[in-house]
Amino acid sequence: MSENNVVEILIVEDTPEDLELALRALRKANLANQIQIARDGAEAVDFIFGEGAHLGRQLENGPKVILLDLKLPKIDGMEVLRRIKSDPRTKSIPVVVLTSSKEQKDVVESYQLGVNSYIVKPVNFEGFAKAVQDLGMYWVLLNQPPQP
Amino acid sequence: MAGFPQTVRRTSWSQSAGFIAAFVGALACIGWWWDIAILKSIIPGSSPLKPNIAVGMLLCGGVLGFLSVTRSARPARICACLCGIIVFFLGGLTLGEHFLGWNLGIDQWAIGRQADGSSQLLRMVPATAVCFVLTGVIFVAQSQLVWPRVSLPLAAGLSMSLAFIGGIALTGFFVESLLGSRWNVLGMNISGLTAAVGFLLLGSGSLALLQSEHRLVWSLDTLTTTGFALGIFLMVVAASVGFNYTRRMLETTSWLAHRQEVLQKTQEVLTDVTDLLSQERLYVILGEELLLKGREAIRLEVDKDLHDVRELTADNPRQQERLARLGPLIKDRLDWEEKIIAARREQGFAVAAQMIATGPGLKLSEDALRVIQEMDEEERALLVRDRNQAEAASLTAFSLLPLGVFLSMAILSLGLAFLNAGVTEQTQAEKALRASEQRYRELFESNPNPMWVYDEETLSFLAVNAAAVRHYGFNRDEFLARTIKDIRPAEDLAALLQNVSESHEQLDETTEWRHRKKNGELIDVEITSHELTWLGRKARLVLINDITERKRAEQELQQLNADLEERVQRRTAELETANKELEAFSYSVSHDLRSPLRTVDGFSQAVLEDYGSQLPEEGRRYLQTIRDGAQRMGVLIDDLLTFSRLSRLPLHQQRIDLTRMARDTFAELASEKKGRRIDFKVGELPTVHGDPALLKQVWVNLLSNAIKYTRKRELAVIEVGSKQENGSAICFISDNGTGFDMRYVDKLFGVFQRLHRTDEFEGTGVGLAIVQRVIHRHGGRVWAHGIEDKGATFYFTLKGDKNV
Repeated sequence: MSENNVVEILIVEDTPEDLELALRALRKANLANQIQIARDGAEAVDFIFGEGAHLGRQLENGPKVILLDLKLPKIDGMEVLRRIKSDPRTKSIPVVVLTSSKEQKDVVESYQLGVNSYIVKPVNFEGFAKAVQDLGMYWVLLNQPPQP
Repeated sequence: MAGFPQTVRRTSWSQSAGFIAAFVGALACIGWWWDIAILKSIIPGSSPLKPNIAVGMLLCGGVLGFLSVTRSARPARICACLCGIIVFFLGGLTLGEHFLGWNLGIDQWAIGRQADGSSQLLRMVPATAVCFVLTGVIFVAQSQLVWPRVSLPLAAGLSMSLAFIGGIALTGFFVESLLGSRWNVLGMNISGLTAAVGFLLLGSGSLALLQSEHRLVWSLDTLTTTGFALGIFLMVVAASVGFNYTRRMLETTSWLAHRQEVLQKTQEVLTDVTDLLSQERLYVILGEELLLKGREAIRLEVDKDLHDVRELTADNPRQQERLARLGPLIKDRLDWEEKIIAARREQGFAVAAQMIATGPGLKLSEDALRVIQEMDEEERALLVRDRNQAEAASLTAFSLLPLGVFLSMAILSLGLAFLNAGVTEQTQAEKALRASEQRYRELFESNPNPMWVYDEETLSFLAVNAAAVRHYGFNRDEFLARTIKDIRPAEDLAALLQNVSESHEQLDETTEWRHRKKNGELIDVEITSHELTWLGRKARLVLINDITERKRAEQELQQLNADLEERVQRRTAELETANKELEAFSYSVSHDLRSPLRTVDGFSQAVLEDYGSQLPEEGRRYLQTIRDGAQRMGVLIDDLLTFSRLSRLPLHQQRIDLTRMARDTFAELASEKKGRRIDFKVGELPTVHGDPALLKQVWVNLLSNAIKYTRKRELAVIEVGSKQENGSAICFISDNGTGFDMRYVDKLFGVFQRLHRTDEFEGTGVGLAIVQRVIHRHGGRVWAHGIEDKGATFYFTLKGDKNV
């Protein structure tokens, strides 16, 4: 969490090992600042929409990109994605589904809900780290969000 | 429709004929009642219609008209019967008066007031009486109240006869009026022209009535009919002519006797006179009074004879004139003779002799004798003439009668021959018909299906065939004593009656019913029925097909199908559940099983990167082994998921050029080919329908296998191609690699089955299992042939893999 409350990347991930590896990869790519972490779907929703524990949070402060695991406790990733994409305030935030699932139905459903990218987590660390780095760099540094 | 106007015409003719006859009769009755001459005869020049004839004509004509107008309604027929009886007795009693000498006075009954004339003049002639007898029978027959079997032919035949008699009499009258009575050779006499016309009207009207009501249907052909009519006509003509000439002959014969009598009487007169003269002479000579005895009697005899002759020759004026002369001559002569006798008695012989010799006696005797001779000659000449005429008449009669009979015989024989020919033809047609009927009866009787005919009104059986008797257990009599209701279960009766009461079309219809056999067993039947006329009754022919067995089989089949359906649904549900569980399992595998592997691999990598320099060589190698194991397990999981997904995903079929797909796939396997010399030969492969993603996987697996197992060759040779066998294409891919031992070929396509050690050739043992699964899902077959250390060949076929 950064002082100026601007969040570049929101990572929604419940597996601590995967989270740590992801954070390690982002850190190695110098993207470790301004990262917000949500450990389940409910927490992610609260943060994104400024509700619950994050009541009163300014939505303009990001995140600029969301890395979303699909298999989450409480509210699953697909539901989180649906809420983001059906709310006019948040639907322009790029969402990258980052999951170990190769199930066709997950892929199809995600794209139908308006996901911006879909990355299957590579098992080997190099692949995983590279995918996260590429994604983060791309969305945070190169891709400008559309002006409202 | 063609017959309709004709019927109208015939009815109108019978009406007109009836009413004209009645009108004529009525006019004549009026004429007699008020004594108006012109009304008595109606037709000028005809002899008057006798009162009884007028009344009969009025009756008969009226009844005929009544019959025609009402189309033989019952009241009209009762009238006809009564009228028939009346005129029958009118004619019959008249005949009795004629021939049996009855005097019943029926000739005056009709017009009692005018009965001042002679009854003989008012009596109808026998021919007319016969006509009335005929008319009577005709009307009784027309009434159809009695003699049901013969009434029609009686009415028709007698009507024809009546019309014939009327017609012939009419012809006779015309011939007579045109040529004179001498030429009326027919001699038919039925009380005048008007009566003849009346009977012609009645006869033809009665015929027309029969035809108009279609009771008289003429079936004989024209030739036969004409022949018979001609025969009847000739017979009537021959009979009439014979009758006429016989009558004439008899008349002439009676004249002959008459002339003989005249001659005889004349001779008697002569003889008597001569006798008287002889007596006178003898007395003059002898003067004996005894000789004069009986003179008065002889004189009276002479007078009587003369009177007789006068009467006999009343028709002959010449003889009458001669008699007129003869009478005084004889009287004068006999008076003179008396004078001579008186002179002899008083004055003696000499005076008397002198008177004989010189007196007028001789002269008178000569004159009288001459007249008698003239008369005699005249009568003899007439006798000769009459005899000739009689001979001629008899000759004509005797020659015409047999001639007429022979002619009629010839024509009737011809008619008979034609009739016979017609009847023979008809008999043969009937025989053919009977044979044909027999055949059709057999179609009914020996039909293997039960059949019957039932009455549509009473519903009783009219006929049943042998199969019905066999099938239902009722014998024929039991069947015929039952109705179709009796073979239905009680609960079906309402539906049956409903079905019967509905007006059926003539078309065949097939319906299903239940029937009860004699033994109470219920059977299901399929019924085809057809309306027909059976012996004049409205009936229905029924063909029964016992479908009990079929129905049972159908029900069993339905039950089986239902069971099967239920089982399939249950299995499907089970399968769906199993599939869902499998899906959930593999989803969970795909996420959760791989997650710890990623942790193991990831943190081993992190340790190597962050603290590798602090670890001994041995420690780094262990960590690398951990990573390899974790990664291999990831590959295994991926392969397993791919393999299980292949069974579940639907096929997306489209056209695929296998040659191009093999070539492209080989080109894409760059990492596997790195540093290798490979001779890749591509033969011709078919174009097929299939799922491109899955078939691509097949090529990937087979080609990467081929590349992998030829690794030890200096120059790897990999060939793909196809060959035709039994109309379908077999694709193959062969290599010159390590091959395999054919003993283990069964294990080749099993999941996780490997024929080589992992340290020799890496792999999970899922590749060929995937190949087999894909090929099977495309309806094809896959098999392999290998020789250890020489190479292997994999073959596969695809369903519908014909060259497109």
